[in-house]
Amino acid sequence: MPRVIKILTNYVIGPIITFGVYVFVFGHLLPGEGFDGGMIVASIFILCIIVYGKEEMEKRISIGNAVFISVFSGILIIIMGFVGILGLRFEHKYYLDNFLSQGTFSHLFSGGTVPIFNILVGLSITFGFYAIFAYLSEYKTVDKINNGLDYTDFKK
Amino acid sequence: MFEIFIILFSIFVLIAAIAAVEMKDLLSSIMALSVVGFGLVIIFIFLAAPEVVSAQLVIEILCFVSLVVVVNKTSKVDETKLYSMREISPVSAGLFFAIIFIIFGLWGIQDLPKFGEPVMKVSSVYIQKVIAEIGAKNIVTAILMDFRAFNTLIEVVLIITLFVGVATILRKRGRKNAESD
Repeated sequence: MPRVIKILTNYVIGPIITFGVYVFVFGHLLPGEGFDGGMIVASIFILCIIVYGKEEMEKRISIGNAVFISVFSGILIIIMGFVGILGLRFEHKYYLDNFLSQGTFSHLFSGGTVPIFNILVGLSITFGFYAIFAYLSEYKTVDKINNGLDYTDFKK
Repeated sequence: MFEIFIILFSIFVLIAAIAAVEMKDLLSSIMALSVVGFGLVIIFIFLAAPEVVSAQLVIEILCFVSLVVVVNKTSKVDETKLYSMREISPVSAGLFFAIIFIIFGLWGIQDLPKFGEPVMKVSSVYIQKVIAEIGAKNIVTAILMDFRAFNTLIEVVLIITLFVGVATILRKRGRKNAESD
């Protein structure tokens, strides 16, 4: 990649990651939710893979860690759903029910389990899409004319 | 005036969708596909749905980038031939299941209230309960994360299934015995 794009990316990384995290942390007060904020953060990670290459990016966030965070936050949502069955707050006992107190209206700590679900979904979407794109960028075609569709590794 | 604008934009999006299916050059087909996506974004802006706009916009950009990368790396001309036996059998199976789905759907739709009759029957309950019980200011997120949290859970499971599938297809090492061949 040309040097101009690398320098521009350096300026853009911080603000966009902050904006994405802001979208999914404040999801219960402002437009946007976990899915949107997660996609915004994932898009900046994907830009980093394209600009700096996959090996540079894997020194910071390895694919194994990304898969672990994504799956672990999915599992946490399922466990919180089982806590909701206990019926701590309401009469009814649903799976994935709201079991925390509602807090003061239009403050950051309000909405019971809604902001927690937002953050978990955001983390899961972010690292899930990062893992998908990192897997996809692992392979590329070399010598297309000679070998036809020959997929070889970056490292070899 | 407002409805006419939305109808014109929907017709524009439909034309772009048909063009995306029919074009032989794959790059221009991807352009037509992204016209469909961004046209939908503009329609959602006029329908006042900022949540859907942000998700649609980011997904559309990611899809565009990855599709262009895939087309650059593989072939640029669409060479599939229609009406061979391999194409006909899945299409006919799809039509068969679509007809079965429509029959059962019409059967299930009879119990629903008449179209536009009680205007806010479901949403009024949501609006009352969100402020009284949940306490989140953004009603759309409260519905997605509390009343329909199971929907969101399945979305997350879908993403996890997606990268498990990608990792299975594109894995670096196969099984130990298969590698020696």
